[in-house]
Amino acid sequence: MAAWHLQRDMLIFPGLRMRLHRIGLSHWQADARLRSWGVAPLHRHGDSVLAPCAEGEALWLGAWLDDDMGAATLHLRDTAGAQTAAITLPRDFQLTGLRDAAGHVQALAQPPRQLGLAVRSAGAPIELMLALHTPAAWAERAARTAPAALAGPPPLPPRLP
Amino acid sequence: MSEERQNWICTTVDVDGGERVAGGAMQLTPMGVAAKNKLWPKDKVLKVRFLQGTAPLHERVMQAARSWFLDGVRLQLAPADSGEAGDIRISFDPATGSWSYVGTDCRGIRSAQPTMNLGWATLDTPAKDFSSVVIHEFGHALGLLHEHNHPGARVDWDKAAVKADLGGSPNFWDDATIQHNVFAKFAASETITTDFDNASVMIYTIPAHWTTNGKSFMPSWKLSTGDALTIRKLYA
Repeated sequence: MAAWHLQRDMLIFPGLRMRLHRIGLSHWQADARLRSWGVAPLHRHGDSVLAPCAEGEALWLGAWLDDDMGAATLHLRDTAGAQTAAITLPRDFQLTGLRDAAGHVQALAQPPRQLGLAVRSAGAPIELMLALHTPAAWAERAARTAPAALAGPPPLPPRLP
Repeated sequence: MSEERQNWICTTVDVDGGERVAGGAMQLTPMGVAAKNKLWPKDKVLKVRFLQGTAPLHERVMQAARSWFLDGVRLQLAPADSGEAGDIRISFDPATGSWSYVGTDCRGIRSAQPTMNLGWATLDTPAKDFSSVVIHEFGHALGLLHEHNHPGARVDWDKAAVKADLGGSPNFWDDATIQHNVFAKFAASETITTDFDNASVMIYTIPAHWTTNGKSFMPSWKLSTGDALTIRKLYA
């Protein structure tokens, strides 16, 4: 059985699930809680996962545990530079940017790039590549239609007392 | 359907010292989910007292609430008499949204305090929106719980997307509150449950991006067939 697999644009690891969410780059903020403007479609190519990322938008990784008593860590690094990020579940649930050596956080956005993702959850450590492509390049590789450009923020979430 | 109704959502309120249970096996009877030990005695006349609002608004609320009192349901609804505390006390505070205590938990609330708030219900509220929120909150007052917390609810949550939304404006819920109100499943020992009813007036508004299969849920503005079966199961 594969250590991870893709199901309906969701990455499934032992004890852990993850999706990539889109947000307008103008609304992206370092170290802030980000809302989802839509889910990024994913395509598997060997040990890589390809995601489209258009000009003017950013992606964030959202993850959750199958078991409330479990734990996991996600590490992300830009293979072309020294930018890295990590989150620990269940304390965290989203990874929204990469931090460089100077401590500056940058969005997961264009230009196209290769990111190394290391997952440590219920099973053995897993490593895969996460490749951000332009929508056109992604559509060609995935043989799927790339998502439409983001129209704007989604409606406010339900309001509660 | 107005866009605002899509944003309506409510939370039930547990009395101090009360506990919402989670986990456990399920017990199936016909449709819905209700708090077993919080049901009113059959043949009870539930007295309603309004703490705010005008007489026409009160009548509009009562008219919508009577949707639950179907043929065979052995409960009645009546305005509280002057000087009477009432079993269900309703406020209209727009700052606190819509909520209700569950069933007989209302008895544990001080008589000057509301047991239900209809924060967005006014005389100008469109009919379906008004009915939706009033029927939903009166469902809680009769002992019904949120359908998405049903032990058999099959909602494939994207928990990260839910946390991203509910952790920020306008709710600012912490993870524990989200777990309690959204993801928790009731235990069979404390509830009377039936098949999960995704058309129930008692389900949350669930946008498609909160689920991993793109399914969305919108509470009905009137009783579903399952809701009608449930209330008769509980009180007929």
